[in-house]
Amino acid sequence: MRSVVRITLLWFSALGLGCVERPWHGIVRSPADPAPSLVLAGAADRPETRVRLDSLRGQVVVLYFGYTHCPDVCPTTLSDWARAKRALGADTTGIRWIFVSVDPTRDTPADADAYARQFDPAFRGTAPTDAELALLLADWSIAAYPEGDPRTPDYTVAHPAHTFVVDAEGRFRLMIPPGVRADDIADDLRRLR
Amino acid sequence: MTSRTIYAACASGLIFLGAACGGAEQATPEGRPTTPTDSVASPSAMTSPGLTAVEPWARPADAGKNTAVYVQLESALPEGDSLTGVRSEAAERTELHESVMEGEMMRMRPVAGFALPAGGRLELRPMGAHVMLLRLRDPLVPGDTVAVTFEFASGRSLVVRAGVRTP
Ligand SMILES: [Cu+2]
Repeated sequence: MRSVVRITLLWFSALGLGCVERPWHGIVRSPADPAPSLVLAGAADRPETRVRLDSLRGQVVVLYFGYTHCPDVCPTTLSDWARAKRALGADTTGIRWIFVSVDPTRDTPADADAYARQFDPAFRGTAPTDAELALLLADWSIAAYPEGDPRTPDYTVAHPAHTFVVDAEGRFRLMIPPGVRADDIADDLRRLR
Repeated sequence: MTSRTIYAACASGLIFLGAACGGAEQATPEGRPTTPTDSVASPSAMTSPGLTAVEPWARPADAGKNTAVYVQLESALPEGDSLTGVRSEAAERTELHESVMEGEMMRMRPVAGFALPAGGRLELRPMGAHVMLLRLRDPLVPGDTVAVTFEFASGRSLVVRAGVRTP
């Protein structure tokens, strides 16, 4: 009987020491390598559309690569972000939310920024130049390409499915797949902050 | 009745199933010709029993941009049908689409039709099947409604007024 008590106590102390982990809702990247570089000049007259990821050290950065003509997936994702942000409560300092257009043909940095802000005033958006886009796709090992006739206004853009999360140390930590509930996104971000 | 029949009807420009008031309206296979300039403001829906649109809604979006309309279509019919067309005056083009995740990519593809099983349900929802409104004529803001006509292979049609809201 006494040994049962001792084992139970041991088990609880193991919990306290962090031997038992709570799973993440997003996909954990292992090893959590430093995030690739992301440097976007933005619009000259709109400094808020300029992005330098390495200058955001100390903050959790939530990133999505989409396009503003996206009717379904991008707005669903940004709505989930908005609900996650609300779930985090009043204090969401320390978290930056950045929507990066991968459709520079149609989106200016200002377009992408206005689009992102529709979902939450704290969200920021920008768009790369063609050269910046090519570089960021290579650096992040991701793809984005127009489908349909890009000479018409109605082409769509294939783009990465996941929300990318960079932690305060600048490590690319999580990929949050579409469909993860806003509360669960909030839970992951709360742990990283 | 086949989709070719519907196509012929559309091509002739004689039949336009405009919007009607309040929620979902049901339409007969026969249709009723109206002017091509028909709009939300001049309702002319036709009805036939057995089709219901549950909780239609559309996302807000700026003029010139694209958006999606979602709804659950419910059939009380003894035979299966398929949704083969969508029309709306709110946009330059209206298409049936499906968002698909391929590997780590999200893509969107136009779809010719979606099955509506006998007595069953067809769900258009975020990140899945949706009505895509391309190049909105006017901005859609929360509180607006947008009329969409759903056309079925049987010749039935259903006019749905979707409320604009954020999810
Ligand atoms: Cu679509």
